[in-house]
Amino acid sequence: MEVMREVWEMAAKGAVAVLVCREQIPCNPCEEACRRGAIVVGEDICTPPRYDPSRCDGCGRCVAICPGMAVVLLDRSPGGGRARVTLPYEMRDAVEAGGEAWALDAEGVPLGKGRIVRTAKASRKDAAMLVTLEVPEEWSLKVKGLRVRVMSLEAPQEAEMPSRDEGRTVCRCEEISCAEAQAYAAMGFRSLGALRRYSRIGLGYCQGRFCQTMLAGELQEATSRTPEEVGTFRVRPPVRPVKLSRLGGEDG
Amino acid sequence: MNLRVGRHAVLGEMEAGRPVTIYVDGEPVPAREGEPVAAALYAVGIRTTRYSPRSGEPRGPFCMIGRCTECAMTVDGVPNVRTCLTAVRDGMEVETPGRKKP
Repeated sequence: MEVMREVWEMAAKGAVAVLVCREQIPCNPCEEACRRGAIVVGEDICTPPRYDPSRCDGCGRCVAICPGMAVVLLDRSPGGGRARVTLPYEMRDAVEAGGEAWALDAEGVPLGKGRIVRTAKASRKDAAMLVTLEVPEEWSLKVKGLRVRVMSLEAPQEAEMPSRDEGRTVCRCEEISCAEAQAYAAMGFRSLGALRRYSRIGLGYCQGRFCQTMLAGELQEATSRTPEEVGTFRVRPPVRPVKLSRLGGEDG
Repeated sequence: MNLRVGRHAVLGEMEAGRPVTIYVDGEPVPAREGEPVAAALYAVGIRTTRYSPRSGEPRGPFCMIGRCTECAMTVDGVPNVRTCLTAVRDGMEVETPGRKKP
């Protein structure tokens, strides 16, 4: 708890890392990420990290790299009873500075809403993006996660879905009509990736080969966004269904 | 009515393959060797190549170039074969996915 007190006091001057790692698992990316030697795991990789906040300059590299999302930054320098918490966030969709997000505690229970003051793209492929949330100081230390949902938490509701018979089919493998895709856009899905995860559009046999172009057009029109903003499906190998026996090196 | 292309606007005279028999859900269907399975089915009036797993509705060939997956059938025991790209061989066993067994 000594460390927490030190972190709290340092945070009055600017961002400082808050480690909540209690896992005795073989893991040390935080030690590797810290350029100032503030985090030490040491020889035995199963040791929970020892942390010296006085050496921390609040760069956030440990926040972005921790696979357990067990590090956040705390910054109480804005004053006026407000604090800024910087969190790792792995879903890029719909997180924009100026927006709002729910701040969650370690159990995922919403503490309240915070304002997104900054987002920083992941610096490398194995790191998460960073989202800085401004919240009331009194519960800022409890914030361990954030939730951005286009649908409200109080009343999660399905948009009124048109019948499948309505209009053209856009995704043939998963059988989703153009009208359905437009309804998803109205629900707030802004990118092809988000739409795919929610609706299964593009997750069928053709893997988006057939529907992607049409769908991108629909989404651009419905959301007034550019092709770059709407994005593309992320392509992962194998791009076509392949028999397991072939992957296993047998002829098939 | 003959639904096979005899003379193609670009490719010219089309050579007809040897008459063979394929089996669609167990029923013999006359076909020409080397033509796409989907074309052979179309020629004898079979328009349904699969039934949608979501709604149960019948689906038929749509793009005919191997992209839309609407013509994917089970061919000689292999599921999800795009019949528009698969050439007919004598004695081929073709099954309609999602079709209710009688």
